[in-house]
This record gives sequence, structure tokens and C-alpha cells, in this order.
Amino acid sequence: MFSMRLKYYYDLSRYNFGFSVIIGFLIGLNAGVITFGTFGMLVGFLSYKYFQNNQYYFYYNLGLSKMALISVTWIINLTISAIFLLLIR
Amino acid sequence: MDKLIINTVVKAFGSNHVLSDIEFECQIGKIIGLFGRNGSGKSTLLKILFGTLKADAIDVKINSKSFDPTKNISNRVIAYLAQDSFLPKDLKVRSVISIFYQDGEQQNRIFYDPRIAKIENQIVSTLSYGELRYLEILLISRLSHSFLLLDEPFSMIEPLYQDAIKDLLVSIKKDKGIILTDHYYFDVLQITDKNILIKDGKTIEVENKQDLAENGYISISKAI
Repeated sequence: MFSMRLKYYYDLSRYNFGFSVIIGFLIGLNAGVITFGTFGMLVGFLSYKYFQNNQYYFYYNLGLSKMALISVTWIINLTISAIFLLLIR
Repeated sequence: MDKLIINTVVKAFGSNHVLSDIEFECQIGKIIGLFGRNGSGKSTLLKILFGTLKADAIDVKINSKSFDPTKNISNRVIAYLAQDSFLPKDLKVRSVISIFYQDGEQQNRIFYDPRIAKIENQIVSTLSYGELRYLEILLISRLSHSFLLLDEPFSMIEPLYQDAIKDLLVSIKKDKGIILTDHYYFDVLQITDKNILIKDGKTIEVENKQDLAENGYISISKAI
């Protein structure tokens, strides 16, 4: 289960990470970090849907719903974001 | 033997009533062929049964118990081969197998397949379509799910792999109920125990090419 979730986490978060880095350069480090835990998730979700939508069936057949995948990914990124914000303050 | 009993499935997209009177059964040990012209609702029906699309009205049972497809993914009753490939393209075949099956014994059952042994170190994106489709079907066929839904398992695949997939499906049907749909009707008819045609939103039982021709799915000349 862990490796499956990790694969989804990696695939979705790389879009999020790329977008957040751009925001970080354009607006500032804090904005980039906040984006990674919030709006960047939406960008990641939409990018995954656009480029890899059919791969959801990989997870569905293994018993993982879209909601389960997204919620865990979001919780992890929100946590990383919060920790980073605390560290850079 | 588990039996999937589809009593009613109704689905419309706006004013287009795709499925209106769907009724058939599939039990473990049987392969059911599902035919229908493009847009007749075959894939829609499979997605509804798998739980990724909601029906407007539905009455499905497994044996005598009501079955709610929207809970199918978490309950793992029905597995589904989508029309397009679902495997992550950037991984090696070996990695895909080890993600799909955590248990070493289950992994070995896949690795020991001679067709898989020769591609296990390849990246998924480099596989031929036949190799890819065979791998996908093999992966979902070894899951614990009682039923398999296969959307176009033979389309665009070289004959050798079509035969391999047919052999695989026949070999697993003792443990699974299989519903498959494909326009390659000749291949489908070779392995099915029962065949259903969806026409005007309704199911019609058919037996052979002549029935398919009489119901307007193939031309009369192809039925001879």
C-alpha cells in the first residue's frame, strides 16, 4: 500500500512542486511554500488529471479511491508546508 | 459460485438515453461477451458496474444481496481493464508488479509467466501494445476480485498476443466471472459462454455471428 501511495504522491506533487517553485521565484519564498500546501495541490490534481488520468484505474483496482489518494497527498503537503513556514520564520 | 445479477441499469446523458433496459447475469466460471455499436453504452455500463460512473437508476445483486457499485472500489469485488492503458509508463515492469502485489508469492506467479519474464526489466512505455495489454490483464486477473470487466482486450493487438490473452482468460475463468466487450467479435465469440448485444439501450441475447448480423451489429456478408 505504501509504495502505491508513494507513487501517486510523487506523480501529483512534482506538478505541484514545479508550480510552487515558480510562484516562489515570482512572489517570494513564503508564497511558494504556502502554494505547495494549498493552491499548488489543485494545480497538481488538474495536471495529473490532464496527463495521467487513466492511471487512476491502477489505484482503483487496488482498492484506493481518488478521494483517498488526494486527501493523503494533501495532508502530507500541508504538513510539509506548515513545517517549512515555521522553519523559515 | 458468486453470481452478478444485473436487473436494471438506466443511464442518460442529457436527452441521450444510452441505457434503459439492461438485464443479464454473470457467474464465476462464465465469460460473457458484450457487443454493441459505438455509442451503444458498453463502456458506460462497465464504468457503472465498476463504480466510476453513476447510473440514474440501478438494481444489481451479487447472489441475493444488493450490490452498490459506488462502494466497489473499496470493497474490491469487480476489477476493471479500461480501454486505455492504466499502468504508470515511467516504471519498469518489475516495479509495477511489486507495487501491484506486495506478497512475494503473488509476485512470483506474475514473474514466472514466460511472457513477463522476458520483459520484466523493460520500462512500461517501451512495451509493445500486445505486451502491455497482456501484462495489464495478467495483473488484474490475479487480484482477489470475483469479477473482471474487460473493455477491448483484443483491439489493436497482434494475433499471437490475442491468442495468449484468450488462453489466459479461459484459464482464469474457473475463479472469476468475466464480462468483456470488444469489436473483434470473432475473438470474443471463441471464448464466451454467453453473449449480449446492447441495442437501443436494451440487452438482447445473441449466440453467433448470424444473430449479430440480424440485429444490425455486423453486415450480413460477414455472418456467412
